Amino acid sequence: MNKEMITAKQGGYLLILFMIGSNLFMGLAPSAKSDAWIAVIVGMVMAVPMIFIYARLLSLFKGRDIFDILNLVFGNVLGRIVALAYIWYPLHLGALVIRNLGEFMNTVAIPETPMLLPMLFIGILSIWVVMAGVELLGRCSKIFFPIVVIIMIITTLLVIPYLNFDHLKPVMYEGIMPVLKSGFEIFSFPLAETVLFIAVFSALKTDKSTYRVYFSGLLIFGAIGVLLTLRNILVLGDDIVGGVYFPLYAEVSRISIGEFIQRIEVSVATTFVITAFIKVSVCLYVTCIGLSKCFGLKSYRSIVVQTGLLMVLFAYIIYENIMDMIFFASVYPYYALPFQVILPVLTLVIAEIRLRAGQLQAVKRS
Amino acid sequence: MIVLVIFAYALIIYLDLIPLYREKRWRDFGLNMALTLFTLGIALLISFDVTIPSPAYPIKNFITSIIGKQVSYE
Repeated sequence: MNKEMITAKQGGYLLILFMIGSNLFMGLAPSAKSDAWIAVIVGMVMAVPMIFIYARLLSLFKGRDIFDILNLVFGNVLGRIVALAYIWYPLHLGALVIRNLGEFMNTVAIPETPMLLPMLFIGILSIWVVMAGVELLGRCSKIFFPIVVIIMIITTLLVIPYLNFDHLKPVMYEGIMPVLKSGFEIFSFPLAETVLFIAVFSALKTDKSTYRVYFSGLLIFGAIGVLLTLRNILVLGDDIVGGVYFPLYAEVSRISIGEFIQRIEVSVATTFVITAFIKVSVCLYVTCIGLSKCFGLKSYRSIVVQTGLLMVLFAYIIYENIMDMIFFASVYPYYALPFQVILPVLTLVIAEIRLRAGQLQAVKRS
Repeated sequence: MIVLVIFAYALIIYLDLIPLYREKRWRDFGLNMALTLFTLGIALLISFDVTIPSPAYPIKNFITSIIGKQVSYE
């Protein structure tokens, strides 16, 4: 069997880039104002049990993706019905990310260009990389991860003269509730979206457990998230962070060292494009895998082009303007809750019961 | 615009759909054909400047009715 494999390191990089993708640029937890960095930590703590559940599902059924797991646990008919949810969710998520990129390009970078154009090109790139397989995606993330980290470190160093620590105070002025609410937003927006990686990590070639990959990814993302959120608040202040659509871009555009190093916000746009590309590719890959498993196709490659085009067109029609996008982001945590929490928990509970009862003994290969 | 869409789809069908037909992979061919017709329809409607109803608004209304409050714009 010529199964495609990615190494544990590539998987970790893929996970981190996927979590960074588009969320950091939209600004993590704007409603927590100056306590957003606490909210990131709260969100990480909230995500730990869910990630434990995803990793447990993966380690129970080694080498199988989420659609196989649903098929085994729920049976043939019900499994396919539940699998439809995991076909719809990545399709919608990919469309949202493409739309984020389109709005970003249209708002700040290239306002004269029609929005369809950058969206179409990122769609074509994703179609290409998914056609080439998940191996290529892993290698892509291995190359892109250092670029993203180096850009983050350089911009952090350059932004040091602009830090103003008074912006942090007062800590938790409005009590703990806004922090918890924002923590939930962070939990659902980047962190628990890693439920899609149950479908990707079936290709993980590792003797170590998937727990390790998942949790190292979570920790590194947490470090990056806390750093960047803190930077946003320290440079811009909580009012501006809540007021602009893309705070990271606004922050880096303030850098002007000796009237020589200026206008380096393009570097932030670069990282945005890279991470959005990785996220869209993962979403497209999961959608195609799901469709091919659900309809019993021989290879997922025969529908990648059409699914990718569908995603781009869907992203084009999904909102009328940027306000709709911001408003939907406030509804999104509740919308994503069934896919991120309820269905995985249900799957794990039924799987554990059926394993204990001995009905699934034959499939456990650990 | 319309000419571009039709030309692009002709190219996609030639490169993507016809090989499946030649290899007689009927399931793949059927699903691909269905998706092709669907996306071609959407693309033609967009190029005719027709407003297509977005699923985001029903989802938004449904969730707002479940959690029982108007979510703020923040």
